[in-house]
Amino acid sequence: MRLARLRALILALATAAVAVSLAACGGSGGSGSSGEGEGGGEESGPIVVGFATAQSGGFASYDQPAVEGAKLKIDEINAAGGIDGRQIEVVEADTRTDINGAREAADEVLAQGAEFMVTTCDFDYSTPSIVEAQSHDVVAISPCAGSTKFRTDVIGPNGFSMGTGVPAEGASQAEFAYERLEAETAYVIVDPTIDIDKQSAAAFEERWQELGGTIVGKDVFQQEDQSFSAQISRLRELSEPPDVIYLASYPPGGVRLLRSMRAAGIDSTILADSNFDGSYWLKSVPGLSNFYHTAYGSLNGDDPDPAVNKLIADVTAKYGKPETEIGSLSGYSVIEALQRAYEKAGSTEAGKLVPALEEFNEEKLTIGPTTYDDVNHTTLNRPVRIIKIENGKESLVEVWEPKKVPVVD
Amino acid sequence: MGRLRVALDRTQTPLLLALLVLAIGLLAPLGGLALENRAIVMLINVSLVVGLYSFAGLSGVLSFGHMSFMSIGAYTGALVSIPLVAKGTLLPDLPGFIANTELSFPLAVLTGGLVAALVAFVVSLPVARLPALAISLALFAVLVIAYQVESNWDSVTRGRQALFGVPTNTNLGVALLVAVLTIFFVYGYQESRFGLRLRASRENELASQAIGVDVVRERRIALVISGFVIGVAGVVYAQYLGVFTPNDFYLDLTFLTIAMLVIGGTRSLTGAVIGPILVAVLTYVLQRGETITGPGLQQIGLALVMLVVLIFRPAGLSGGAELRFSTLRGLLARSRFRAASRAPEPEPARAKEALDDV
Amino acid sequence: MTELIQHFVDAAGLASLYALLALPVALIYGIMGLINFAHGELIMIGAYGLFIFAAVTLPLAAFLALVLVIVAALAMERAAFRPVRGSSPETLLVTSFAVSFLLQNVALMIFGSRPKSVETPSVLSQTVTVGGVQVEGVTILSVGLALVCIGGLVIFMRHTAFGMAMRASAEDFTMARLVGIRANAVISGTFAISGAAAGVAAFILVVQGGSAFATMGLTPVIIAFVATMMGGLGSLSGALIGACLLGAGTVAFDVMLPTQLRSARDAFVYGGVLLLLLVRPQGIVASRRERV
Repeated sequence: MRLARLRALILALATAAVAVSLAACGGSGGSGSSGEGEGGGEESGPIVVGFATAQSGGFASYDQPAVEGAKLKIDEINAAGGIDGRQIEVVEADTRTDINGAREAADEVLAQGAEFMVTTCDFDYSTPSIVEAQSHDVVAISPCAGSTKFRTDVIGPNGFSMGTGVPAEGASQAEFAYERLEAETAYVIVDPTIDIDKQSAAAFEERWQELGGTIVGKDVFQQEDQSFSAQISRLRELSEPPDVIYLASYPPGGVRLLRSMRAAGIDSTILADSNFDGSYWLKSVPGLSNFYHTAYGSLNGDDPDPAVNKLIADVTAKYGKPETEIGSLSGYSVIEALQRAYEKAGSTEAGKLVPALEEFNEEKLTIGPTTYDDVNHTTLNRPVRIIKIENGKESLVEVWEPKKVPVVD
Repeated sequence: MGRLRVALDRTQTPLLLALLVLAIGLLAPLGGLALENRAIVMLINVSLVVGLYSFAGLSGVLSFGHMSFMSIGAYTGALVSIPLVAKGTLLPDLPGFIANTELSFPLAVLTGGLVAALVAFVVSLPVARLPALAISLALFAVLVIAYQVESNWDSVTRGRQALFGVPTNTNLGVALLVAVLTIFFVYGYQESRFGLRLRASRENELASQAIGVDVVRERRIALVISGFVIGVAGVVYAQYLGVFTPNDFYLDLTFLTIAMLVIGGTRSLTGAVIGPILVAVLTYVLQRGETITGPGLQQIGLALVMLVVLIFRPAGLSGGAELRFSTLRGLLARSRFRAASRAPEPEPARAKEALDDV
Repeated sequence: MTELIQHFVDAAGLASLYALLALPVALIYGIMGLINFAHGELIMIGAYGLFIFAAVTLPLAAFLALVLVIVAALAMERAAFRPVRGSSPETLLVTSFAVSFLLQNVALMIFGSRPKSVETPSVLSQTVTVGGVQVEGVTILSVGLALVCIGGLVIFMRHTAFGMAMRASAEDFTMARLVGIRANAVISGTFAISGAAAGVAAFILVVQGGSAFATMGLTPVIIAFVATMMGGLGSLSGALIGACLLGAGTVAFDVMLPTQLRSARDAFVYGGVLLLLLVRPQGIVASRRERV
């Protein structure tokens, strides 16, 4: 009995050792043949773009639309003869929505010769990939992360985000509500689970008070809470209902709170950021009205920018209608940015590509004007779409250009 | 000569395990950076699971809270080693004595381990006195509390925001060294009189008390030792990542490390070492398979393999046995032999009762 | 005064939900020593069931989802837990981790990670005002369903042969088998009951939140786990009291903490758990079996 057990144990260990050594040999062969591709300096042959994104796990639904958007642009570029005559070749690896996975996926695409990297849609989970890209002199862009921490003094020079810095969304909502909705009192509810919600709420608050509005109260809830009765009680205890409530959270937790608030008869106007973009959650709050959120574009063909409508139509034709436009737009624009910067730099080498990207000043990409400088590698100020939900239907209200975006940490 | 034989006989298990770990660690870089980084994470997991084993495995008390010691090690190690200039802008409100400290990597590792051990000691003062099941829950409460404090103590940890600027000192050599040292250290503890007493209490708490084992004291020692080992692993891991958040040391990692330990076998050091190795190798192989099947195979495949292992080897791969030269010889000669097993075969039904009558 | 009653009502709602989560976990723990972390995935399956069947009328959808969860619970027991029955608690626990991880990832593959909206009749989530106290529809639903389920279970366990067999098995599994109680039947039955409870909990969670998502089982199962452990080993009444304390404590800290500390609420709740353990190390209701 014991002998059998030990034998199995040894067998397992031996298998492990063999597997590792086999993998090691296989891997070394692979990297040997494509070793020259590393470093991103190669100036002939195809440009290898590496996607280190989540193909599985919780981020897959957020990352894959961006990958589709990017591939759409890549196909367009290749059909038109490439960038400076160089075709674009795609290599991919799965981060599994895991911090270590993000690093391993980056290693894998780098080993396959990636000269430019597209990372996952989140700052924390992108950083390991960016660090690896940096050590290979490769530029990495996260398509839709809204964090403003893509700063050279935070993660180094090679990491960028195509997303709109989330403070711009909070500031836009403050200005829109104050000027268009003529609201004076605001109540802020923050879900501290993810960092960008804290940032968006802080920006809203600061801009709101700057404009002359008053904050009548603040509250906190948790994404995983099973009941929101305390938050609702506190809202009810206010002597007068606030004109607007700023809800900094994301689905499903934020939607669950929204549903509870409406069910409890709290009818104030509610404002939120682009985490609430898309119509997939609307049925969770039947007949929702008086709700505004920001977005990158309109998904329903009524965007004022025809390029956005065309892109959504193209993505829909090729991959089916996405749940939100954010991924498609940001993914598409990542490759646009690569194209523009490459045309200036003439190389994918970070030493040349980074300065070219940093020269972007209101660069007109499909996602909107994009600006980077030698510190900020997120676009801090960009017009946002204000989308209104009335009777469970979404409609574009207007494109809002924030006049001032507070710097929040 | 005789003395050498005795020494070799006594240290053969950690020697073999260290050789195994070394072999994998030295082979991996041949596969390029991707494999080297995987090897580093695997080696850190080995240290981590061996640390968990030094409490949970030896005492028989399952812990849901040891990753709190890891996070404490990680944050301490980071805070004392982020360069002073960066620290000023990163954490302007840091208490003075930390703000002005910048230690070398080895000292940072030591400090992280010691602070984690200290916290483990403070935790152990009330917690070690509880019955086994209550310890498991109490340690889970400690995990939640540590996570919440780290997530909200903005001036020291930056809260839920990533702490960055942490020097990335961990390379393959460091991970290997720490894993090997951990294996020898925990084996030494396991074979010491403290370890023996603790294991006696695991086999039968009442009987061990009857022969004079102070179970509370032994569990307290185990908590401090495991806290130290896991704290060290925390510093090493943090300085591999370079950027981390409290979430990196929370539920996912807790479940993963417990699973690795049980898959390997909770009742032997060998189990604690081969569990993480198996999971790393499986993850890698399944991911290779994904090129054929499409994404998702890795997670589902890993879960299925874990189930199969548990169904066919409920006591884990090692089955509670330690790896010894005789194991290898026996296998090679394919002859019958009596394995010099350290832990008696746990009889399933009795094991359950042992946990019940605390 | 009204305010106090209001908080009390809110706490009762959450405590009832927690009790419904903890009860089945404690039941299975009592009978086979398994802390079933895959119980959360049963809730998830129930919620996705409601999503899939939402096209038909709600009562029928609820019934079909309930059947689906019970079948899933039975299948889970047959495929994963029966082969490891009698193993150490760690092995059982990690088996349930594996099942949970498996189901979560299968759900992610099928449904993606964005939540799926489930429409429920607005009657169920209407708020009622009684003498200045606002009672959420979900509160009424949770309290009502918890009372029915717990009452039903008590009657079932006290007055039916199968229920008595379950109690006997929880007391001494080996002895129960010796006197002719069929282990497989008892354990399958327990899993079916736990599946039903998961289905009911899924219904409440969907009515409350309007959505189904792959990771929705995690928080409920952790609550159930903590409540079960707080209650004392395998003690049903202990688990119920544990769940009530946990629910009431969560609401109390949510109400009392100042805004700056509120985001660290769970630190206070679990601080309370720790204190309770130090005061009552054997759990709230010390199990009979602990007398040695």
